[in-house]
Amino acid sequence: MFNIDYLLNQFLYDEKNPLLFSNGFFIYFFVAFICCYYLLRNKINGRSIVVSLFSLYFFYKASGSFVILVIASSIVDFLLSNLIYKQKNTFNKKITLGISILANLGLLVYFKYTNLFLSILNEYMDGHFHLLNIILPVGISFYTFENISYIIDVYKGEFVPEKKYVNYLLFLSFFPKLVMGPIVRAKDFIPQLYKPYNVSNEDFTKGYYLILTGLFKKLIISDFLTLNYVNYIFDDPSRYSGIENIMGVFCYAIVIYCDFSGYSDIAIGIAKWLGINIPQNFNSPYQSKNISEFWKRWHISLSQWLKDYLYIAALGGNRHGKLRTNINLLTTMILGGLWHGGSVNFIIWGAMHGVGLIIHKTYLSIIEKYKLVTNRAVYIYLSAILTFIFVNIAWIFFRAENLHTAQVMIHQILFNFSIELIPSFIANYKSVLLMMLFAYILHFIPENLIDKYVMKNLHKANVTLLICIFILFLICYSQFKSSTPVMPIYLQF
Amino acid sequence: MNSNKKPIILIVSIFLVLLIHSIFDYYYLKLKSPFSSVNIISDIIKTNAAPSKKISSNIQSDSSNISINNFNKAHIINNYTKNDSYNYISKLLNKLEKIKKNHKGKIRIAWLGDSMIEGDLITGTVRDNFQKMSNSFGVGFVPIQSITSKFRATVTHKWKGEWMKASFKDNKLKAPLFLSGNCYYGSNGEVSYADNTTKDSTNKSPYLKYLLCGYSQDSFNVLVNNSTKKLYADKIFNSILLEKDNSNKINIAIQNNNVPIYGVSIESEDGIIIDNLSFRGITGLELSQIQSNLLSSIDSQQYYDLIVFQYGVNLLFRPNDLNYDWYYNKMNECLSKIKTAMPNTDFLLIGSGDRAFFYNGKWESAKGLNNLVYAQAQLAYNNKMYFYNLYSSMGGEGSIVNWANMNPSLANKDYIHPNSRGAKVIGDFLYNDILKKRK
Repeated sequence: MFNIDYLLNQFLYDEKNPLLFSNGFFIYFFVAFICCYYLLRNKINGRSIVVSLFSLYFFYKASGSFVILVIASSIVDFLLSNLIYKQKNTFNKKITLGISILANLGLLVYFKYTNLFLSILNEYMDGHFHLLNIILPVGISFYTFENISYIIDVYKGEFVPEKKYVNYLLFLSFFPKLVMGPIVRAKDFIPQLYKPYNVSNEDFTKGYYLILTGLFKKLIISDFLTLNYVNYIFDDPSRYSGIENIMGVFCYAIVIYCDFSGYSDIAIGIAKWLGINIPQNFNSPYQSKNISEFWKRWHISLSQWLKDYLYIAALGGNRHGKLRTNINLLTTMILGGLWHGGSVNFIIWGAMHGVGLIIHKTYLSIIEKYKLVTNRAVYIYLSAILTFIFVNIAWIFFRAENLHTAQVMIHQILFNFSIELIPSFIANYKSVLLMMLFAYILHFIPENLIDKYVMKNLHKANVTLLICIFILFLICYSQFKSSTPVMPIYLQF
Repeated sequence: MNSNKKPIILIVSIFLVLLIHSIFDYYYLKLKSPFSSVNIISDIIKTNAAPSKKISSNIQSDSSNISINNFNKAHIINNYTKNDSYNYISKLLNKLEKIKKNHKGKIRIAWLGDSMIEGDLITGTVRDNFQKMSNSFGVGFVPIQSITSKFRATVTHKWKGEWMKASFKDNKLKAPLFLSGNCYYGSNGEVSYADNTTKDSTNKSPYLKYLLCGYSQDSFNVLVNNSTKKLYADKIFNSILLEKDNSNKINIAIQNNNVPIYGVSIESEDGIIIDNLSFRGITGLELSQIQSNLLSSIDSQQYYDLIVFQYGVNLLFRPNDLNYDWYYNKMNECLSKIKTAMPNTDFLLIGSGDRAFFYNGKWESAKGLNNLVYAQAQLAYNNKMYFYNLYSSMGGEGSIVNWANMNPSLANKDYIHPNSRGAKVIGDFLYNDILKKRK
């Protein structure tokens, strides 16, 4: 029997089933949205209002009453930014800026780090605090950073604050990037809201390519490997041999890339179809030849944000001598680690990358001083392998539930590794290994080959062919889809 | 040229295709199409649940008045052997009484299973309990190579050199596989073991170290701790004493491509020995690959007093499966073959443990678990074996989820495998339940 209550409940927030691009409900949402958007495409205000309303509803379906937080913080920052702009007195400007940053960081700190502080007090200062049952509002790490960058840009006079509230609300809540980024800047985003709707053929095919490959990376590669391998290994590494653990780390490296970059790509692709450009968030990061390059290719919107607003604006960048530069780098990366959550493991992960960056910087100055030749192929490949291994060691801390699990994993890799197990390992995990191999091959295909063979043909293809390809993807997905939905990794940050 | 219309055309078209397929699949095919997992109708409407499929009964009628109805009871060894009416393994417990009294005699148990018994965690606990009670020691059988060797605490086990391997998964060599599912040929192989089971410091009895192997036409040489021994393996199954001394270690090397080698068994002279025979990812059907003459040879030497089968979680790989008749039919054939070849051995079939899937936003025990466990009880019943309901004993519905969410947890978050703490809990209650004498 058809159950009407169940159907109506679908429109309400369900904490166990938040709305994501991969939900069945999203298809209905998106069809309704794109029809409304298309009808209002030539009315600049109407268009913004429709996208804002759909975005807020999307956010409600993804995180319930926390939607009020986005609305409240958009109002506060909208008012404060205009206030800063109008202020003539520098001191008052600074005070207003301070209030805004404090409000945003306060929100972030309360939701993300209260329990970390309490457990530190309990552990080291003999405190007896009960940890609070704080639920992290989805996307808060992303939109508070967007607020902060906006208000700093206005303060520095780089951007005239937006006059229309609805545009600011839309900038903050734009649903494709709301829950997991990329972190967008108002000066790039808001001006596009005033442009007439125009999707070029390039934009359309690029958007199509990004959405399709993004879905493939997230729903097929990442979910399959997460459920069939990564979760087992990281759950109890002591049960597995060194080879299984090492492959578990390599597997996680491709999983987190496919998961997060897949979701980012879908967001960028959808935005392209709406006539809005959002900058690239990932650029084949494991092709990096050194750790500095890795951070120019991995979660680009966060690393750029940290560089501009923390490393340069707040800490002074490299303007205060070598030692201060290194301390600034380390601090930035540790705080960058903490951005992911209040845990020792994230601090270690951030610190490892900070130290990596410092070592690389020092190394570069040595190369420069002694004019060493570094453009040989062997050298480049070795550097890329070294970088990849370093990033993977750091992933152990990023993924492991606690420090102990990370230690067990490293112990298994170092002391329980035997080559004899490789044949039985391969026999046991054939499908996982094939999927991993496939994912890594895709990752290492050079960009120019994709442009030459894939994008060019997609440009030429007509819509019917593209529909057929998409349906083929759905058929493929139906064979892989598991009964266990896999929450995107970055949803928790 | 702008392509403003293309996104909406593409999305609406794909939506319509999906919708038409979903309606057809939902109303006409009853969600049986190969693409039902992307049905966008079933995602948003829910019909009142259909009555669950009736469990088919495979019980063969016989004149005995033993009932299978109690199969669901926790912590009971159900006796379906029809030899006697006690709900315990009488031959085993009687022999155990004698061993305790006379300090003489040996009980050997083969414990076969999938990843649930991997790493000798559950079996290690059962063994430890039994050995403490009977003042015995020894890890029992250990194969030549093992994927779990690095984290198995009960034995330190290393191998090197060239070993040709045949197994349930790959038996191109057509080797006579042992109960472990493996068989090796040591072209130029070496292997060493150190027993780590607890031996009481007051216990002065020696370690007996046996080589377990298949038939060999000619005698062959084995290097045992660097001294050569000439061995004869003229039976289909052979257990050949290599050493008897106070060392818990042994190192052997073999250069002979013709002798099927299974492994080494380290044990005390008397008491209880439990062999862990785990094979990851199998369902038990693979046992049909073991040759009958090997089983008969093991049985005729009265090598094992009891063989335990512990399978099931690998059968629960699809969350909505309810019907396990196919498994019953195939496994029944396999068990009756084993039972026919081994008339003097007792068998205990342990039902599947709990496994959860994600249903409608919640982790819940697999829908088909009761049906699977019932099919397993029927297998035991129709093949005259003992049966133990592990699922009920773990706590029944929702137990693995509770175990995983406890602090400290008793199971992994895969909602399948108990962790080392959980394995200890299971090992302890299995030991106690095997010992309980119920009328």
